[in-house]
Formats: sequence, C-alpha cells, structure tokens
Amino acid sequence: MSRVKEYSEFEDTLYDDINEDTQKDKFLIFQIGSEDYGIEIKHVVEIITMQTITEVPEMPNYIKGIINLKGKVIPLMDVSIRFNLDPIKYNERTCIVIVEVNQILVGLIVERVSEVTKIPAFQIEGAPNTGSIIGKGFIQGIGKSEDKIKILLNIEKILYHKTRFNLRKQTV
Amino acid sequence: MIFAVLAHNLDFPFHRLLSIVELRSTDVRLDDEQNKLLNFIYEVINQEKELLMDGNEDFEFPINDEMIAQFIQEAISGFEKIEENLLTIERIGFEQNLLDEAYRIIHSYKGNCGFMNFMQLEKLSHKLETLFEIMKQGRLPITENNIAGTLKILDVIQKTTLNIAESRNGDVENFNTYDQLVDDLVYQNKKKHLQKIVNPIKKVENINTVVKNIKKTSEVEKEIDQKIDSKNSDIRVNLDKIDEMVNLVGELMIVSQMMTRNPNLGPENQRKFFHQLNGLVTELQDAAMSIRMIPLEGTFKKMVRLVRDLSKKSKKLVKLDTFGEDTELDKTVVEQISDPLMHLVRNAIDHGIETREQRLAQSKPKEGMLAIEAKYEGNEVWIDIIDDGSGLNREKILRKAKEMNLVQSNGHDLSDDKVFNLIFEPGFSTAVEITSVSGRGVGLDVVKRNIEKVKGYIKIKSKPGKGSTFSLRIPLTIAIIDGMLVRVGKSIYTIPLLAIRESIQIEKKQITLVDGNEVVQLRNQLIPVFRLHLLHHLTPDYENLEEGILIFLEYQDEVFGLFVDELLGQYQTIIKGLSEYLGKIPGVSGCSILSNGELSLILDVADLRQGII
Repeated sequence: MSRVKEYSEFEDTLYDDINEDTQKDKFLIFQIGSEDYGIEIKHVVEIITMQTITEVPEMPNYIKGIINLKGKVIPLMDVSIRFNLDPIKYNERTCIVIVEVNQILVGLIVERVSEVTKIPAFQIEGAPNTGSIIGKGFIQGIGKSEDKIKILLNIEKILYHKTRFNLRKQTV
Repeated sequence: MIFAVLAHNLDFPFHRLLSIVELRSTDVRLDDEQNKLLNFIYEVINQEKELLMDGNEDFEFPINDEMIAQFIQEAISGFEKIEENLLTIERIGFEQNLLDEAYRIIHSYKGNCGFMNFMQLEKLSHKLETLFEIMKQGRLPITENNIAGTLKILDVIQKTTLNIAESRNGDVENFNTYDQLVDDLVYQNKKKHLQKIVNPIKKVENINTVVKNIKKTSEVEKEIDQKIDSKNSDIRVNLDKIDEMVNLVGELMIVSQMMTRNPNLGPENQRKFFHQLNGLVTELQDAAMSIRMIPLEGTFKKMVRLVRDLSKKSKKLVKLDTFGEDTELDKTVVEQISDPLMHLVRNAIDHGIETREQRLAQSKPKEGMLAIEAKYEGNEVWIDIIDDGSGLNREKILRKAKEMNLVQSNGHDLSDDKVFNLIFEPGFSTAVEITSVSGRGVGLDVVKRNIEKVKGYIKIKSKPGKGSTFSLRIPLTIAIIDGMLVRVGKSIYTIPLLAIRESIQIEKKQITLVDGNEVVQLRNQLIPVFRLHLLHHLTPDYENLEEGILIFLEYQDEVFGLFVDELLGQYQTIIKGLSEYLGKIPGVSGCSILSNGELSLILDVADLRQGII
C-alpha cells in the first residue's frame, strides 16, 4: 500500500468524523400547538426571529412571502398552515428555521424552537398509518425520547410534496 | 499545474524535486534551461510513480475533481489560443512565433495528459505536437487542407477534454480515425515523394479522407460550443480587479475602525466619515460589478472561425474585421448574446453578402466585408454587425408580412424601422431556400428573444444594395437597474425606470369604457389601463382611477397604463432573483432590497403587457 493512498484514506476518515459524528441522530425540535416536531439537524442552516415579510402573489396559502437574509432572498413557509393545523399567531417567540434542501434555502415559520436533541435510530419507530399529514409522507418516523414523543419530519416531502402550484424541483 | 498536483499530496516525497527547482529557477529565463528543468520534473515524477506502483498493480494516482477542473480550464484556454494562431497563419501565412506558441501549449497539454493518465489524449496530442514541429520547420506547407485537418484534430481533443469532467477518462471517440488523420497530415510529405513514383492514386485517397473528415468538423464544433456553454459557472478574473477590491475592503475596514474607536465624533467629523464611507461603498460596488465583467474577445474569436467556415461552405469570399474586442459585459450577458451574434453573422453571410459573380456585376469588390464592432454608448454596449451585401428588401418583407397577415395595409405608410422589425416575427423568412448555413433551426425571433432576456434590443439599418447593420444594444449590466418605487396597498413594487414614459394623475373625464374595458384618453391617444391590485390580489387604497396614479409604461412601442396608489421615488437597486423554490410569478421578474432591508418585487413590463392584451 502506498503512502499516498494511506494518507488520503486517513484524510477521508478524518473528514467523516467531523461530518457524521456531530450531526448523526441529531434533531432540531420545535413546537406547533401542543406537539413536538423534529427535523434532521443537517438540513438546518440558521434560526432567526420573525422578519418583515414581503408578500408574493399567486402562491399557495402556506407560502407567506419572501425575506432578505444577508442579501439572500428566502421564501417562507408557515408549517402550521402546511399541516392544516390552526394557524399560529406570530409573536416574539415565533421563529424562522432556515433549512437547506438540494441547495435551496427555505424558511420554516414555527411557533417555538426548543432544543437540539439526540434520538438514536433504535428509538425511532415508523410512521403510523393515519392522519392527513402522514398520508402525504411528511412524517419520517416517531422519536421516543425520555419524556415526550417527537414527530420527526421528512423535510424534503414537506417542501416538495405535490401542490397545486408547480415547484420547479419536481421536474428537475 | 504539476505543482498544484503535488501540493495536493503533501506526502509525496518531492523535497528533492523542490531543491532542484530552487537550484534551477534562477536560470529559467533561458528556454533551454526551462526545458531541462521540465524534463527533470517529469523524470522525477515518473520515477516516483513507478516507485509507488511497485507491488501494487492497480495503483491509481489520486486525481480529484479540482485537479480535473483545473486541467480542463487550462487546456481550453490553451486550445483557444492555438485555434486563433492557426487561423491567423492560414490568413497571413507562415509565422514562426505563432507556431512556436501553439507548439508550446500542446506540449504542456500533452505532459498534463500523461500525468493525468489520459493515454489516448496523450497520444493524439503528441502527434499534434509533431505536426506543429514540422510546420515550424517549414516542412509542412501551410495549406487550407493542412490547417483544416489540424483544426479538426484540435477540435476532437478539445471535445474529449471537455468530456473528462463526466467520463473521467481521456478516451477519444473514433480514436483510430483521428489517429490516422493526424498521421496522414504528418507523413503526407514523405508519402508524396513516394507516391509520385509509385502510386499516385493513394494520395488522392488520402486527401479525400481528410476532406471527408473536415465535413464533420462543424458537428464537433457545435458540440464543443455547447459543452463550453454548459460548463461556465467559473470565471477568470484579472488579478488587478481583485486587488482593487481587496484594497477597497481594506480602506473600508480602516474607516469602520476609526468610527468605532471614536464613538463621540462631532457632527463635522461624522459628516466627513459618512462622506468617505459613501465614496468607498460606491467604488466597492463598481469593483464588485467589474469582476462579473468579461471582455467580448472570446466571443469575437469564435466568429473568426465561424466566418472562415461559412465562407468556405457558401463559396463566398468574406473578410471579417472585428473592433472593440476589449469591451466588457456582464459574464451572463456575454454568454447569452453569443448565440444571437452567431446567428446574425450567419444571416449576414447567407442572406446579406452576395456571391462573387453578383458582387462583380454590381462593381463591388469581390470580397464581401463583414465587420463586428463593439463599443460603449452611454449605459449600453452596442454590438454592430455590419455587412456590405444586398441589404434588406423592404418590398419582399412587406409581401411576406402580408402573406402572414402581419400587416393589413399595403404598408407604404410604415416606417423602415417598423418594416425591418417584421423579420423578427416567429416563422418569418424571406429566404427562397433554406441552406445548410442558415438551417440551424433558430429563427430571428429567437435572436430577438435572447437579446430581450438580457434587457437589450436590436436596431436595424439597411440600404438596398449597400448592406445592412444589425445593432445589438445591451445594458452594461443586468444586475443593477434604475427603478421607480410604487406602492399598492401595503405592497411596494419596483418598476424599471426605462419602461416608464410618464406618470400622471388623470381626470375623470379622460376615462372611457371600450367593450367594458377602461381606456384613458391622453393627448388624443387611447391607452388601455391595467390595475396591479387585480393581478396580485391586493387591497388598494384607491379604486377610482382619478384618485391614484397612472404610470404609463412602454413596451415595444405599445403603451399601457398601470394603476397604483402612490409613487415613492426613484432609486438604483441590485436585482435579485426570486427563490428558485417559488418558480415564475406572473408579472414579476425578480426582487430588490430596499434601504430598510426589506424586499420589493420588480415588475416585468413585458409580462404585464402580455397579460393585458
């Protein structure tokens, strides 16, 4: 085995260590209504407070508009409306979770953000086969950590599940 | 290139190499020394490679994406230079310097191929190198066929190189054909001598294969163009531009430090600081924008080759002159106008310039003149494509337009401008037959659309028998516009200032209803009116036209009124794309950031007009 090869292998494992170990099994937990929801931490870019939103016409009701985040234009989705829940009221605890999926940034408006928690795979169960948002595949699994169950979301499905307006990603 | 590769593998025991480089680098000005040094480097690397491969059959030298990208980029810019040189040689004849340069470039490319383990490319480029070498020594005559053959080899090498990013190997499609072709070129001299005595038929055959192969060149070329077009998220920036920007950032930091260290500035000093800051920010904006700008040189060079090929194909003599290659435009714009420009050049040669006989009959010089000229004109760049051919035939255009129901009357009252603009209508062609030259499936309407995509427009001047000028007028940058801020209800929109003819508050008596649609009478003109709040479902302050403001927008000679609540003033703004996530929104082309950090949607005037009519 050559030295060059050894070196690059070593580098690879080093890289994986950083990438995987810190993010593996970790979820950002937020609340809407009385439920706890979790999304994989690897998708989360940033969490910011509520901003002034510029409305955009001809959008589904859960797309609230766009904001400017450090020169980037980011569309916002109200998760409560996306899930057909009672729409949340925006106040000083309302947060925008900026997520990145397929190199596209989208802001999720959620009621509160509580913590980042580790839920190992063996504590996650498959999604039960009931309910409306589950039917669309929004739920990736149910996480059972100490106190309360957490609904783990499939962020890609939430952003791109077929809607009445044509999201470009679907065709790419 | 090689050093970059080495730097990627720090483990590589190249300290020995480094010490040699150090030792020799003092002498590098001498060509000989440089070659010796390079050979030495290759030798050492090869030795190391063998060393590494010992006892490891399937050893692969670690090659990563970055190295490949660098390899491709370096190669492509080299090929462009070679092509340019070859074309110059074809025109002006033998020129030692140009051949030397081509030879050097292909030599270092060959070395890189070897290093990256692209065997077929290495072999082909090695043979090309030999070809250049015998050309250099004057042993191969500079003939049309020889140059064409050489260009063909170059094309296929270029195409394969561009493919490497995906294929990861340097395998050449139809390798043997090209291998043979290059051999034919290299050995034709020797063969000729033999053939004179032995077999005169074989020579003819050889040339035939060359000619046959040349015919395919245009296809390869097309592919290359497409490849280059699809691979350009990179940009080459002159280091000076970056230095300037870094300097400005440094200045900015100094000013900001001064301000934080002296929190209690007097009003006088404060004003001074703000003044300074303002100036710096403007300069920085210019510097940042200039980074996106690239010269038109590359695009123009493509035209040289295009004109050469077209004039061969159409058997018309065409002389191309280009001016203003150093004119700079936004990179995305340069990419967008490359196709339209090619199309117009094709058009000029195919429809504009007459055949040699026709020209001589009109006592014009037998060689057609084609000029491409770029220049700055105010906030625009004008690119003129000028030919001295037959010019546009007004009557012919009108006849065709009437056939297509584009004009009602006999059109005698129409201005030349209006008539000439008809040729941009979809499906419009006055050409009797479609030749291979113009049959690329792109009409002039596509040219126009592409130019409009970059917010430009086309002007045509033409005199029968004297020639035509197609002038592409393109804004310097599409990233910044002058905009007018308007308000409808709670929403603030930006309208491109260029599209606004005037804005007025009208009186009730000016409004009439035509077919249930509101129309405003303005200086004896009836202008349709369009309410923004209806399209975008907003709650406006005013429903009555006489209470708000009517903005008269102009798009391609058509005027329409846009009803808004209030004008908020002019400003200059950077255009931001809307998120890809949202897709296209009707009537909106993008958005801009307001001074308070919020966003404002920019209205798309062309889109709005289509919605209203």
